[in-house]
Amino acid sequence: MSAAGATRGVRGVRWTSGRLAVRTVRARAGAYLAPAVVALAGTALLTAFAGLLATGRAAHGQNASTLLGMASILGGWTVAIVAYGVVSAVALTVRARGREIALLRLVAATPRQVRRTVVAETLVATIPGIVLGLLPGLPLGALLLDRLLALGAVQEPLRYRTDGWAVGLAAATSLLAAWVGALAASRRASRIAPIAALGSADGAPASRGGDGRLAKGRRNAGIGALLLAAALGGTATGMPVQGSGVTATAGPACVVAALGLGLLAAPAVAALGRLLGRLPGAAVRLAGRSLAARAAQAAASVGPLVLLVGVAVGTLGMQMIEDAGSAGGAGGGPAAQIASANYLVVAMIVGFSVIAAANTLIAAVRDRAAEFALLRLTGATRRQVLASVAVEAGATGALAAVLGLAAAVATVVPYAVAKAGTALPGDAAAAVGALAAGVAVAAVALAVGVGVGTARRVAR
Amino acid sequence: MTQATRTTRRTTTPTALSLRQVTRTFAGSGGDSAVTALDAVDLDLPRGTFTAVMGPSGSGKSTLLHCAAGLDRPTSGTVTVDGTELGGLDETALTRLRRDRMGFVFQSFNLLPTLTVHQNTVLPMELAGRRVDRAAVRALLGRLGLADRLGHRPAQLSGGQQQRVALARALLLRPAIVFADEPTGALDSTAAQQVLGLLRNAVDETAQTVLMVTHDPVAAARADAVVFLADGRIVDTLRAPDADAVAGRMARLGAGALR
Ligand SMILES: Nc1ncnc2c1ncn2[C@@H]1O[C@H](COP(=O)(O)OP(=O)(O)O)[C@@H](O)[C@H]1O
Ligand SMILES: [Mg+2]
Repeated sequence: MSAAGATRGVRGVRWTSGRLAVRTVRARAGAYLAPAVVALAGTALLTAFAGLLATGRAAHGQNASTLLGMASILGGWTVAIVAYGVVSAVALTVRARGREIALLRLVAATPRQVRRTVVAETLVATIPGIVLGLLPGLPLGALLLDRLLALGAVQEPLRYRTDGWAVGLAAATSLLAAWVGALAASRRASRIAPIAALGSADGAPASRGGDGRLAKGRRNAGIGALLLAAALGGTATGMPVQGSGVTATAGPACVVAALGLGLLAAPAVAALGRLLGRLPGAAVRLAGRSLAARAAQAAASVGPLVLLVGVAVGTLGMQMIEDAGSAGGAGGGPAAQIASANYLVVAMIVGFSVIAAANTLIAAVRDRAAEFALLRLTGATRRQVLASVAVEAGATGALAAVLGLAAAVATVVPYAVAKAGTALPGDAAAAVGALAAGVAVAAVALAVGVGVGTARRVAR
Repeated sequence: MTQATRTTRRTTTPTALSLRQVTRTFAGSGGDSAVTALDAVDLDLPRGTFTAVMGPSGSGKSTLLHCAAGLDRPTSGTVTVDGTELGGLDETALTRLRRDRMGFVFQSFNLLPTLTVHQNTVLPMELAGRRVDRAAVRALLGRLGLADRLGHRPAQLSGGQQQRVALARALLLRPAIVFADEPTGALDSTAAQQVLGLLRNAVDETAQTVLMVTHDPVAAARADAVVFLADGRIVDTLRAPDADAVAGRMARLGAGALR
C-alpha cells in the first residue's frame, strides 16, 4: 500500500470510529446516561471549586490560603470521583454490550479500533454533560463562598470572581477525568475476543471475571492502592499535632483505600453469592447464584458505594475527632468555624458520590431487562424477580458498607493517633460510631431502593 | 496497488484454505476431563469450491470453522488462509487478514442492532479505511432484494432478510473465502434456498471459496463436496453429493455416535 493510501486509511478509520460512536450513543442514549450525569454533576462541583480558586488567587493572606487549599484538595477529590464514576459506568456498558463489541471485532475492527470507539462514545456522551454542568457550577461557587463567609471561614472584604480561566480549567479537568476513565474502561473492551459474538446468550459473561477471579492488572492496582493508603496513614501518625500535615496525609488515605477495595471487591462478591446460594428461599438462592455468576458486574456497582461510605465516614469522622479535641478549649474559635465549613463541602462531595453510586446502580439493573424477561418466561413471578433483586442489592450494599468502613479506618485511626494519641478517643467514639452506623444503613438503603426501583421499571 | 498485490497472490495460491494436523483440546473445568474437539485434522480447499461440513452435534464442526478463520487458535498444527499462515499473527494482523480475505455468516445473523442495513453492510469497509462505493453497495443490496430496506434496522427485518444483509456484508469486499456456520439454521426453506443460491453464485461467478457447516442434507447437497466429522476427526468425504446420499451417511454416523 502506498504512503498516501496508508494516510487516507488512517484518517478514514478515525472518522469511522467517530461516526460509529455518534450513532451508537444516539441509539443507546440510556446506556450512556450514567457517565453523562456523573460528568454533569462533577463539572458543576469543579466549576464551583474553580470559582473559589479564582477568588483565592485574587485574595490575600489567610483568605487566599484557605480558599486555595480548600479548592485544590476538594477539586482533586472530585476529579478522582468523576474518573471513577465514568470508569464504573462505562465498564458496565461495555459488559452489557460485550456481544456487540465482539461482533464489531468479528466484522473486522482491530482491538485498537474497538478501544477508540469506546473512548469516542464516552466523550460524545459526556461532553454535553460537561457543558451543562458549567451552568449551575457558577452560581454554586457564589453560594459556597457566601456560606463560607457566613460561617466565618473566610473574612470580608472578598468578592466572588470567576473568569474564562476558571471555567476553562473546570471544563478541561472534567474532560480529562472523563477521558482517563474512558481509557481505563476501554481496555476490557479491546480484550473481548471476536468469538464471543458467536455464543448463544446475550449478556452472558463474555470473558473471565464471571467467577470473581481478578485480572492481574486489576489485582496489582488494588493492592498498590491499599499499600499507598497504609503508607499515608502511617505517615500521618508521625505528623506534628499542629498544622495541616495530618489532614493532608490522613485525609486522602480513605479515598485511596476505598478505590483499592473497590478494585478487589469481585472475589468477595462471588463468595457472598455462593453463601446466599445455599440459603433457603427461592429469591435468596436466585440472588446468590446471580451474584456468584456475575461477580465482576456486581463489583462494578459496589465500587462507587465503597467510595461513598469510605469518604463520608473517613472525612466526617476526622472532623468529629477534631471537634471532640477542641471542645475542651475555646469553643467557637477559628477551628470550629473551619469545621462547619468542612462539613458543608464534605456534604457536597458526599452528595456527588451518592449521584455517582446511584447512577451505576441504575445502569447495572437496567442492563438486565432481558435476563428478567427470561426469568419470567421460566416461571418466576414478578414478585420473585423483584425480591431477588432486593436481596442482591441488599447483599452488595452491605458488602460495600463493610468495605467502605474498612477504608474509613485508614483515615480515622491515624488521625486519632496523631491528634489524641489513641486509635479512637473516648469522647469521639460515640459520635463516630453513630456516623458509621448511619452511613452504612444509608448505603444499604440506597442500594436496595435504587435497585428495586429500577427493576420495577424494567421487569414486566 | 493494493489490488495488484492481491491479484498476484490470488493467482499464485491455488489453495484458499489449508489445515495441517490441526488439533484443538479444551482444558476440563472443575472435575471434567479435557475435551479433544479436533484431532489431527487435514483439509485443503481449492479456490473456487463450495464445501459443506457435517457431523453429529459436538463432533467439532464449529471448532473447525473457528480455527480455520483464526477466531480460535489450534493447540497444535497449522492453518493457512489464502497463502498466509495464521500461527504467527497477532490479534491486529489477524483482524486485518479477516477483513481483507474472509467473510462470515452465522446462524444468529450477527448484525449490529444500532446500525441500519446500509451501515451494517459497509461497516467492514469503513473499518478498513476504504472508500465506500455507494453505487456498488446499492447494486449488491438490490441483487439481494434489499433495495427498499437500506435505512431499516435489523429488528425491522425478517430472519431471511437479516441473513441476506449478513451475506452482503460478507461478500462486499470479495473475500477469498466465506465461512458460514449453519447459515440457514434459523430460516424457513424458501429463505434458506435463497441464501444457499447466493453462496453458490459467489463460488460460480466470482471464484470465491465457501466453507459451510450445516445440519441440513438439502443444504449440503448444494456444495461441491461434503466432509463428515465425528469425534473431531474427518471420517468421510462425499463429492458431488445429493441429499439422499448425505442423509444416509449422516444416519450411519448418528447411529455410530449413539453406540
Ligand atoms: N469453549 C469451549 N470450552 C470447552 N469445550 C468446548 C468449547 N467449545 C467446544 N467445546 C467442546 O468441543 C466439542 C466440539 O464442539 P463444537 O465444535 O461446538 O461441535 P459442533 O459444532 O460440531 O456441535 C464439544 O464436545 C464441545 O463441548
Ligand atoms: Mg456448532
